[in-house]
Amino acid sequence: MSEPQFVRARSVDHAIDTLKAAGGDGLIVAGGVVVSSLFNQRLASPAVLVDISRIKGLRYIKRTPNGLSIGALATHDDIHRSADVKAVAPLLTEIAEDVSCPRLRNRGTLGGSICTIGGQGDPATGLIALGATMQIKGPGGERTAHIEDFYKDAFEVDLAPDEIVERIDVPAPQTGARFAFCKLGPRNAMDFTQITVSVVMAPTGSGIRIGMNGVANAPNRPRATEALIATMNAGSINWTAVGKTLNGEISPQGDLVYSEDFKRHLALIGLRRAVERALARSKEAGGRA
Amino acid sequence: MSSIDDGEKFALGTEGEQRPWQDAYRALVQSFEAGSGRRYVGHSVPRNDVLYKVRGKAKYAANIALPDMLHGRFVRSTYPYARIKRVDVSKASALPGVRCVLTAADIPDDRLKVGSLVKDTPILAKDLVRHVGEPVVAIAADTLEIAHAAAALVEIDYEPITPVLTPEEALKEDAPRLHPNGNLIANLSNAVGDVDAALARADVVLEDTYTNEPIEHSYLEPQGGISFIDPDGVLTLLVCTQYPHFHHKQLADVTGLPLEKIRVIQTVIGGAFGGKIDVTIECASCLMTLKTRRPVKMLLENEEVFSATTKRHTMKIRHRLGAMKDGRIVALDMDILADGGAYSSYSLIVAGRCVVHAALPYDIANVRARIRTTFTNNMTAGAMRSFGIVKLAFATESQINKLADELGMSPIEVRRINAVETGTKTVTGQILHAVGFKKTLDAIEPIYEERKKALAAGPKKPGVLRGLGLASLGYGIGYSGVRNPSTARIELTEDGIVIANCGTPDIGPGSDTALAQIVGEEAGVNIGRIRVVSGDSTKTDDSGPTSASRTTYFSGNAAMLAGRDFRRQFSDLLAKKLDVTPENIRIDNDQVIVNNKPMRFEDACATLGSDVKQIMAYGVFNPDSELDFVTFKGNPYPTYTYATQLAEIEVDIDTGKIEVPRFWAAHDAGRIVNPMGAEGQIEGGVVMGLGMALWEKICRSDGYIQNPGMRDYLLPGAKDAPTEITTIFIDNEDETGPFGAKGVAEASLIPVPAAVAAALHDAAGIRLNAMPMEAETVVKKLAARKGNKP
Repeated sequence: MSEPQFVRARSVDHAIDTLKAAGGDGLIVAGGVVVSSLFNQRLASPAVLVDISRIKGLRYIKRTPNGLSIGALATHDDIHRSADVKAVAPLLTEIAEDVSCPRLRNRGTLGGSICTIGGQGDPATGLIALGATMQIKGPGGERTAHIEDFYKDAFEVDLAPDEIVERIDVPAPQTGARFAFCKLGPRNAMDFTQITVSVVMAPTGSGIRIGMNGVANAPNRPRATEALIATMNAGSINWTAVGKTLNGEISPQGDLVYSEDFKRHLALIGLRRAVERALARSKEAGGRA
Repeated sequence: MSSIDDGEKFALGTEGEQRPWQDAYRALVQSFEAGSGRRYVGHSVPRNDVLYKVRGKAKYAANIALPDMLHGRFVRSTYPYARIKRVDVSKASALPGVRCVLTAADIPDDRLKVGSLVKDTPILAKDLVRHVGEPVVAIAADTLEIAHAAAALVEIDYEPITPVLTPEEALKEDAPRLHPNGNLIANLSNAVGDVDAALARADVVLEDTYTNEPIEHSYLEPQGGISFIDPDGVLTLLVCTQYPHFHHKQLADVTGLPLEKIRVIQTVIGGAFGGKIDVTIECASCLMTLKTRRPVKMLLENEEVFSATTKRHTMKIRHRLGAMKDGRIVALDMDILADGGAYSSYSLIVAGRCVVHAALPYDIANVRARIRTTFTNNMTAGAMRSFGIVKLAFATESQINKLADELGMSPIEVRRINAVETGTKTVTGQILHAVGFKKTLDAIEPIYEERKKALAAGPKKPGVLRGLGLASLGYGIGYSGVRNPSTARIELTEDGIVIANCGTPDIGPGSDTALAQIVGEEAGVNIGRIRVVSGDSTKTDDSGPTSASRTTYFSGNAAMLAGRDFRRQFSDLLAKKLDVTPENIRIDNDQVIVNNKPMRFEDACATLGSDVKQIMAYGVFNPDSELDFVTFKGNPYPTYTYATQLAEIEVDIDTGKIEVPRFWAAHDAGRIVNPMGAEGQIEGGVVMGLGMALWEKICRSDGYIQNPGMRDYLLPGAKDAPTEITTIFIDNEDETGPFGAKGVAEASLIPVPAAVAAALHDAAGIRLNAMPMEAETVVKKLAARKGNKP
């Protein structure tokens, strides 16, 4: 019942120090989207709540020689509106446009979304498909992690209790790369039970990177499926074969909305649609990524 | 206690406090230009609650705080069915800041049980709990956090009993008796003609069983209220409710206080739909106020709303329909088994309405309808928009659509052949009047034909099947088979404010505005000077609840009569004052014309001075509604509303997802008092119906609700609503209604699921008899159908 101590971090280092002092009993709040929900459901009772939302220099989107650099506090709406994102990695623009609802897009941050271990993870699929890396800082200094390696299991990410994600680096895809995002769920907005798929395909042929969410305990990259598709002719992908491989790489759990079988069915539909959209996009004028 | 600056609902403030909002509203409607003819009725007059609502100044129960206020919380049952062996509140009581811990032991036995129709629901459970979430202990503390902490310290020892979770189990010989009188809440039936003989000679007999899942009303504002003792010693309850007078009387029984020492005021309400008509926090909150002599605020959490307030009944409807080749329906036989849950709530009303509505809106000679509703250890089922008829319509309308396919007839033609008309005698022997049902079919027919052609010719989307489906309804306005009068009293202030005290509160649809329009029209005064007081049990007479689509018709009639009486009393009084004959005084268009000379209304009021207090205009509308619930003969409702709706859907064959891009709703609601408000009702009702048809269900397991919250309960959002909902009000006038009006609130939702089911069949060739029609089921059915193809 005791209320957590509230610390408004002045800097990343201050936040890290505070988290370290909390000895594993600290919780970071940025946009508050997830944390407020956890509190309302009485699922979180940290000793210290570390507010990083006012830390200067964490909310930005920059073009870099390699692509994009996005500060952890950039909101979904920032990403959606960013001309740089649209120019370098429009897949992220497309994903941001459909995250939850406008109110949450205004509050929710990219860093928060990535670090949240729950059903939501649309941006993570895009970042996996794009091969993004994360810059993480902790008491021992900075390190870099590939986002696809960040997710370990349900409720388990590769982040120590006193570490903070500072930024996400998104390499620019090859000129002419094709991309698409597909989201399947019972309703058209605000759903947790959803299958999301992002794909980035090489400018020609069927080389592909896939990020998926909702089909395992955490966002994942089905590498064997990628490898199989890469061996096929982009115009005549054998989806039955792809489905078999994909099935071995995903482990969805049935819930109140969809059975496990139906999630497997939808995972393949989502992947097929994303690939078809990506391939169709190459024909569009200006279709680029 | 209240200040208009904070935007209290009118009923809460004093005269002076309400004035700024009244002035602002008057300025708003001053610029409102009504068309020709009637000045207000029939026009989309802006709502009289719009200003404080859109400016964020409306005060809901959650926003109200009083000095020295305590915060209340329930401790609820964690078992669906169990004996309470021990309740130990000593640790909770000892926690600093806890001011009151209430258990059943604190309430005399003869005051313990409450209920809308049958007093069978304990305020706090004693000896037995009958559903998960049943309140056992109530706590009031200085802060909500302390109340939560104290709740965790309450120790309750239960001895679990195997719960009864389906009506089938409840009806078994050896089933545990959940209540002293057994497990049946309702067992009603009616038969006219010879159903068996008619089915035997019918050319076509269709038989099927239709089911649904429990539904949550999903009002956005959870139940909440604040009880306190006012400076005059009156126990006052501010609460979001559909029926302040019910709570007023109930609280007299529960507290033993005389009626004049109780006052119940409705706060601004965030939706109700039948879910704010039973007791939740009212009695416990008031008892704790009486014990502590301090204000107590109790607000349910969203999870409590989902797991511990009434739900829509689940029904299993076995339905048989017999028809001749020419499309005439000769027999209808339905047998309904319904789950009433732990306590009786409105189950009897729902059951009665189902029997009466068995054949509507059709004229069928041989009808048999039976409904049995049982107690179970599920959450209590209660009132919800349509009182069960949406499920009946799902069954009957689906059967009729099947019949049309079977006979190769248009679904419109089959309905037209069997439609009730003015003069039709119903199964209860009532002769119908002002029936506009066929006109709703006429309105939908050209759209249906046009869209059918368009879909056949239009460009095909790969992987998408498109289809059309329609369904109809007939629905009785008001309570079933009992008198349920409404009254209105009109007073006047010296500065020309017309106060209309009407007993049915506005629960969101804008009924206060409709009533003001009717009063303004009939009294001849500007609507901007009318203040409707509708939610205060001491300022209004008990006019029944705002439910059963009855406010416009019942309270509207009362308001119209009161408006007429007002005009007469005002003219008489002014005549006396000015020494002219009353015949030479007219009130028209907010002017008083005395001997052909116009005078401003407020000047006339000033002339009358304190004499205005003599004006006490009154209107009562008490139509002759009677029904014998054994023979089912009588006139259960004073009038009926009708509709035909058409859904156009798209089915994604890979994902099974159904989108509803277009929807048309043609309604006979009599003369429409406020088109904008009525359209709002229809659009909201259509989306609510789509929710029931496609997504919504309370998932239950062993008596526990598994999706108790908006996160996991699939309520349709704006992006799931049709892109276009076209509302058509057919031209009809009911001479028994105020300015010809009937009612519309519930009708909007009733045909929706059956229309969607028909469209699904049209699109994909599959029929689903269970709601919701989920994507996964659609995909499985499509796969099965493909497999069955030769």
